[in-house]
Amino acid sequence: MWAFLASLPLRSRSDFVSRSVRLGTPRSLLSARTTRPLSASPAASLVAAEERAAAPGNDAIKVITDASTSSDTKTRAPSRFERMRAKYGLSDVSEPEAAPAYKELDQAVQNLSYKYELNMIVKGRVVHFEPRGALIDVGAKTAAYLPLSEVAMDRVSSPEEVLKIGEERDFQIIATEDTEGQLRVSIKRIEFTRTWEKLQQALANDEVVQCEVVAVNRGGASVRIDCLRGFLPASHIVLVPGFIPGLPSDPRLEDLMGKELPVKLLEVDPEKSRLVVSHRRALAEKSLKNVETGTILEGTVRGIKPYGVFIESGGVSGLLHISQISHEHVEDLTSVFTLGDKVKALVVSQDREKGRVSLSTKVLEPEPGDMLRSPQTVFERAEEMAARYRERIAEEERARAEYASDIVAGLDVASLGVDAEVNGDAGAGAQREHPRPDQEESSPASS
Amino acid sequence: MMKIQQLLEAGVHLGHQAKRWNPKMLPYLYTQRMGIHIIDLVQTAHLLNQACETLTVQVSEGKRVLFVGTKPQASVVVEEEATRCGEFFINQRWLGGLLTNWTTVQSRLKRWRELLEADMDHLTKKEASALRRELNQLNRQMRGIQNMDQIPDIVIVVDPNKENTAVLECHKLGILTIGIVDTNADPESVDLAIPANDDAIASLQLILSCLADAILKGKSI
Repeated sequence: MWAFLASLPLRSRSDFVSRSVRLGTPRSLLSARTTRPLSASPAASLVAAEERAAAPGNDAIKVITDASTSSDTKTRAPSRFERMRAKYGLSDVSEPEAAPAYKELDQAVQNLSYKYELNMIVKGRVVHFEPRGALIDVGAKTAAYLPLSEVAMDRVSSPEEVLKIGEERDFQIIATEDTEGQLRVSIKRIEFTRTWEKLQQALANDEVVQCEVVAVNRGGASVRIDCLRGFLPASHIVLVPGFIPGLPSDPRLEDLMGKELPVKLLEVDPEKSRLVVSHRRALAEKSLKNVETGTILEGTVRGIKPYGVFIESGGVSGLLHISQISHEHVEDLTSVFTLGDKVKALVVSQDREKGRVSLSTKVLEPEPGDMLRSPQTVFERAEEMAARYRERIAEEERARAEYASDIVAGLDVASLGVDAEVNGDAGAGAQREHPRPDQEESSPASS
Repeated sequence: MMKIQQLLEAGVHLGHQAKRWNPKMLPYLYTQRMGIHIIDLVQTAHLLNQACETLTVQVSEGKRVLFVGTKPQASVVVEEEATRCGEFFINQRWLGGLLTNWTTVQSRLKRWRELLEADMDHLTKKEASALRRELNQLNRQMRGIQNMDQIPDIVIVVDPNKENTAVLECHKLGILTIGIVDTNADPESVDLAIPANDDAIASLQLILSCLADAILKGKSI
């Protein structure tokens, strides 16, 4: 590069005379004084660029434009900065040898894209730990500061719990440069957004997520999923020891404190900060496997409504409709059931999605009206009746299936019309016993 | 010899926001871009070189150097580089009067030496813990000047703006100051100013290691 002074004798402060390498040449000094910028505003300078450049005696600006040929800034109008330099006689490169170096510098400056705005997400590397935070190198002039409070959703006592020196990850800018030129960044904000997104997806895909119960109140439980707080309503909690490990035999809501439960999402609304989950629905999947249509469900009466009774067993909630209680007309539900009654009912159908089943005791009645008169009898003979019911159903199914297949078998495309009608009316038996001669070959042995 | 490319990569050219500058830095600035000032690296390289040569010569004559840098980013680098070249450093708060009130500081250092030899076993728990606390305090404050027997001859300051007490003390005592000045600092406050980014760790690492190398070179002569 250049040739420098070999050694400098030690001088005290007062001896140092020249502080700057670039000395203003007399010529530019002189001309600098004569060329005052037309107006201080950069806009005006840009507008009047051509006129000034063309004007004679504009040596200062000419010097600027001549010297560094590859620089765009200087072939444009001189910026306020450059005008200032010209004013103080610090015009451009006085040593031609330095030109290549300046070219390099210039190129780097042109490529400079220095943008660090609020709420931007930047990649950063952890470089240093402070007592109450960490310094992150994000490529800005100064290392950005990550305060302890923004390291994670829960309180951590030191940044080392979450980060390691040299770790690279995303950060979000929460404050632009302060007086020191330092940015502030946060991890918490990003986690926040990401967790909401994750939960919204879980809601869409009907996934089960894990949560931890942190508080219990009258409406239900306050739970925590990752770093967000949500609510689990009491009606959606299945407070049965079998389904929640570690629960005492007569569980109360308070016993849920600190437990981890699988839940499904009911409501995910980041704008309102609403997060509602259901334990029951998460279990429904599991428990519905155990409950099959046609089996007896033994449960407790959880709620009585004008249209029926809600019965809960394990994780499954079922509705026993008023019309399905007995063959006889039921006037008043409360006369038949009270809250907390243990009842048995037959599972007629299931709704997997809602985790609900439809129940019936009507079919379990040995004699019509038994449910009203003596429910106990019904329950005692429930299994028996259920078996009978199942058989009946199966029979019907078979009959229907046969009927259907016979119809199909009897159908001959050519003879569709009168013959088909007659065959259909005759039914299965007739068809088999009296095959038409002309249809013998076409009717398959259908038994 | 520093290459411009190296300096660029370390972000040495990035100055503070344009509105926070010290106008005295005008000669050392290349241009203004996106609201920040860009330091003229050609001059930086030249002045850094000058500084290195001065250091080499001085150290070869037996002079001692003190590194001063209390900014959080600087503290680690300062300690590293100073210990590497076997010189002294201050990377925690600069105690007022460290140089101008040297005799008092010296007595603290003496006390430290006494404490190190103290026999903790023959003391009560309370006394022992009090002494230990004092030791920690001293360690934190003066770890870098533990073996400094006399006032240093050269002081290298990371940000003369921030360390203005240190710089003032040096002037009062006629100590040569070399400073890494950013666009918001006064280049005339130090004897030899190296215009550079004083905030980025990479930048400090580059410059301080360059100076430390020069010191080592001087010692080996």
